[in-house]
Amino acid sequence: MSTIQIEQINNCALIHHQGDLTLEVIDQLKEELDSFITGQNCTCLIMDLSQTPFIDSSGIGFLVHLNNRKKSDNLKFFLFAPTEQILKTLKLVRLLSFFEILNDVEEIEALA
Amino acid sequence: MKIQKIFKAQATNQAVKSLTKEVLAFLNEHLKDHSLLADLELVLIEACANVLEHGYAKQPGGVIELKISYAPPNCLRFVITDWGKPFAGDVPKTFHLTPEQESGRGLYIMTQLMDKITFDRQEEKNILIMEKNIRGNL
Repeated sequence: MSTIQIEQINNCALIHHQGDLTLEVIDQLKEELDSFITGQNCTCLIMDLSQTPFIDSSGIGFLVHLNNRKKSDNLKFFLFAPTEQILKTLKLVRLLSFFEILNDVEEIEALA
Repeated sequence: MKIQKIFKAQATNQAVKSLTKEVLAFLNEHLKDHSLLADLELVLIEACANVLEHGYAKQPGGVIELKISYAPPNCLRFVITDWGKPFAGDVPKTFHLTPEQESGRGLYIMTQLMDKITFDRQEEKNILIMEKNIRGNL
């Protein structure tokens, strides 16, 4: 069963994920998203982390994987509204400034 | 008061996830600091993920044992044992991680959140010992 919902806003894909971003869900998420990105005319990915209470190194690797696709697929990639725990973990691994983070819906609308 | 408890699980993603939740529920009875609990959850997930990936090479059939003890005056200790492939090497003193790396942060996270980490190999067992001073949290 999919753990994500993808909302298409013009050329932006807003990826909603509910639940922990941890080892046991990553393979499926990666497969679903890689397949989605390949099949769509999508120029911007936004990972909604507002309903993601917890992340581990696998989840971090997944976000880095999506971010790395910016170069290969000429995509923009953003995190949206990460929870406090996610921010804390990204800070711990010194990736807080590596990702571009959006906090308001208005910022998403401006991108789309 | 000395607290000690042993947990065991099959070395699968789902079983380890359940194990971690069980351990966290146990720790939640004794720890007051929710931020510390989240840190410990992350450490346990990373440690178990390493066992699944490196010790058992993602193959089913293995077992993970986790012993928690609180040794006075203020040291919380996790001892994680597996019967997988020997761990080659020691805990690095420095890490060379680039932001673009998609893996390899688990051990780094563990070293950042715990005060002391050691590996040992005894007979057929890999033994990971992690300690943290939790003065004032029990």
